[in-house]
Amino acid sequence: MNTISDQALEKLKSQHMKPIPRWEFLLKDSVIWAGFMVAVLVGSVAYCVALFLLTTQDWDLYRYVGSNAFADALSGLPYLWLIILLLFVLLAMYNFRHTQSGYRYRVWGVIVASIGASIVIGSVLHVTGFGNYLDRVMADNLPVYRQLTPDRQSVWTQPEKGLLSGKILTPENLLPNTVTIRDFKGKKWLISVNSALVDPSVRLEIGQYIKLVGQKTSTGQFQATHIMPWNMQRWIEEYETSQDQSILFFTNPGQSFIIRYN
Amino acid sequence: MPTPEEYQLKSDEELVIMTLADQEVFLYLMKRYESKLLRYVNRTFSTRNEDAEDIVQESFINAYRYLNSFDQRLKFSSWLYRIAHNAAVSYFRKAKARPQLIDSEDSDLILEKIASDYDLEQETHVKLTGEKVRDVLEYLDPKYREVLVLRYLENKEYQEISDILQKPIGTIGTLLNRAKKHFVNHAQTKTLHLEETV
Repeated sequence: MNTISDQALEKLKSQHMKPIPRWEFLLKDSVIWAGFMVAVLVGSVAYCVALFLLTTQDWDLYRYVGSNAFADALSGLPYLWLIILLLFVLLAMYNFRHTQSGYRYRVWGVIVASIGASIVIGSVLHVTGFGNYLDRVMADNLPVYRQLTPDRQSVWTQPEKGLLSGKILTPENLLPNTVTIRDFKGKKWLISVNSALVDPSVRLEIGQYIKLVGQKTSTGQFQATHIMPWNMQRWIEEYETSQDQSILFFTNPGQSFIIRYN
Repeated sequence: MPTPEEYQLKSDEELVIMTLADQEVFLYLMKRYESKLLRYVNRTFSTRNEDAEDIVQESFINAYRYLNSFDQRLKFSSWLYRIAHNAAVSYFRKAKARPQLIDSEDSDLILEKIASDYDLEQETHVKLTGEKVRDVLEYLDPKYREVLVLRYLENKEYQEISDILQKPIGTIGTLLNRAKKHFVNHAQTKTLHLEETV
């Protein structure tokens, strides 16, 4: 009498079945591992840019404008990159679970390990300035990207609310207690700095980008109470490529003039 | 060429390597596991012998086709049980049939093993017979029933169950504990129901 084993062997022979070649399994496993590594790498990049945006975020803005700290913090979070990070962590987990031994590890353990790897690699990338670079490239090439990431430029171009930012056109030593800046909308401002607290990294030199907290005193004039560096490269580059740079300065004792040639 | 007796002395892993060179050698592996797999499938999924035989045959064919994917870090038996588990799940999904119940002899065995972990009479306030155990098992979720069968009837270690069901070893421990608790809960409910109808 034919046993199940005999019948199975018979079937294998009659249908000329052969074992699937080893390379097919190796290829499949390699693809899954490659997918896992790519997912971790993309997650790291997402973490890197998110970290850059978080570290350049104005977390203390509410102190100057009297807004809600919590609402400010929520609106300033880099949601796009955090969502990308989350998606790729999940993708990494999915790939890992489909490797040969992936089932041996708990889902949460794999998720935590993926996030940990993204944090470590992303932090290294952040130190190299990659986050800043990628943010700038994205902003330059994808208009929709600007709408999806916190818009600091608009936040800091609200003179009526006491917030202003821009590039220094005339330094303090040229006009005592004042500097002239051009904001990100192209408008020039005469800034009084005599009673301002100046961040140590700000030297009030031509070409430096700064952000100011204070009060608009009249048209084109602003009294600064706090002066800080503007440290977001993407807006600076965009601004510089769009603005006319031909500016000439004349000074007389007690008077200052700025003449702009278009 | 080795004699049949020499083949019997070879390890599973050695037979796997030999099978890749000679299809006939696979027969020795299949013979070695035929009754074990049949019993496992019967206990876990079906009392209908024809179903179990189909599933075991399908398992052997799949095992042969996927022989090159066998991970030598695993026990061959775990790998083969996993294939049988997948074949059975696939079989019942296709047939849209619900797995049936295990037999009375196995019910007694499960009762004996679980009773060593729990004071069942104390927990359920009633003396459980093999028949009642079978009634209780009928209401257990298949995933709980399978883990009970693997642990108490197939005497598999946690690591082996983990490799068969492809779940983390910690999850197996949790699953087994839950299976035992569900067993006790169902035993209490079932007993009350039986007493009311008497």
